[in-house]
Amino acid sequence: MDRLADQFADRAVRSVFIYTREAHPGENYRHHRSMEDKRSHARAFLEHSKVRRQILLDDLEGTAHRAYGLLPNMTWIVGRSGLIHYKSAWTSAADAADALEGVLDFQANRAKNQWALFYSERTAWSTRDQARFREGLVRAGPQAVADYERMLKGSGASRNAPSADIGPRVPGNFYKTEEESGE
Amino acid sequence: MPSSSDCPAGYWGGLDNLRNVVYRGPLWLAAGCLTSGIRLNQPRKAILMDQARYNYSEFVASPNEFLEFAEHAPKATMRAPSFPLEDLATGETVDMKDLWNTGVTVIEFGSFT
Repeated sequence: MDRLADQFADRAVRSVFIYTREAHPGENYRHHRSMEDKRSHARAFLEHSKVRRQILLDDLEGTAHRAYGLLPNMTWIVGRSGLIHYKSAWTSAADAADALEGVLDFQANRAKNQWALFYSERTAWSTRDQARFREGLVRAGPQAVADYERMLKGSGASRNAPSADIGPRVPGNFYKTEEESGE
Repeated sequence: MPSSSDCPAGYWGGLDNLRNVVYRGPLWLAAGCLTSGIRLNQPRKAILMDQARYNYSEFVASPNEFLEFAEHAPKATMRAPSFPLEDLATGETVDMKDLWNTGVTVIEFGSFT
């Protein structure tokens, strides 16, 4: 996402990272009990990830995070005057870049082309680096690893085989077969 | 989308305003009035939870969290809610609306873990 920020910086696009609660707390990075906990973990994140975007801390109650839907790694694109152009349950730089091109094209040409804005939904895809994700869990501590493995066993997510149409079942994929939905 | 004057009494303003109204008109009009009354530029109130529940100490996946995001978080074409945030580098307060008042803003939410 830093590369995306760099790519669009000269087109008056601002990119920020909002630091939320810990998604997978563990022995090394526990849940926040104070703003100082949150600041400390955010600084560790900055040190490790070298994020170049502005990092903004939500309050301890997660007021902004809750208002935007509470998912652990969402991306939103907001235009001037506060119009929401894009919301994504997971962060994908490629998908966000595609959306951003559309937004900038609309903004640059809306008067000339008399475009009308309308609401749309779509699916999106991204590759997931499971090894890197697991590294993050290990860094957080054994509890984070155990919590995640328990979730996989409980949800059956890891057992669902990919199909030609929909790929593996991941959180945020609402598709159900006729049999699964009871229809 | 119908205007308030097109709508039967009680239907404008959404389900919250609908009280003991008997309506025998066209269903499409009733549906339009009810959905228009949802006030599409005003997202539903944020999910309520206290600080301890928000900052959980143990990750337990919620099967409905993505559905909640899809159905009840603000949607594209709505106005983005603005809240004060703290700049990690400076400690200063930054209002979210000040971000997008200067241009298109890409916002990623996340944490170290």
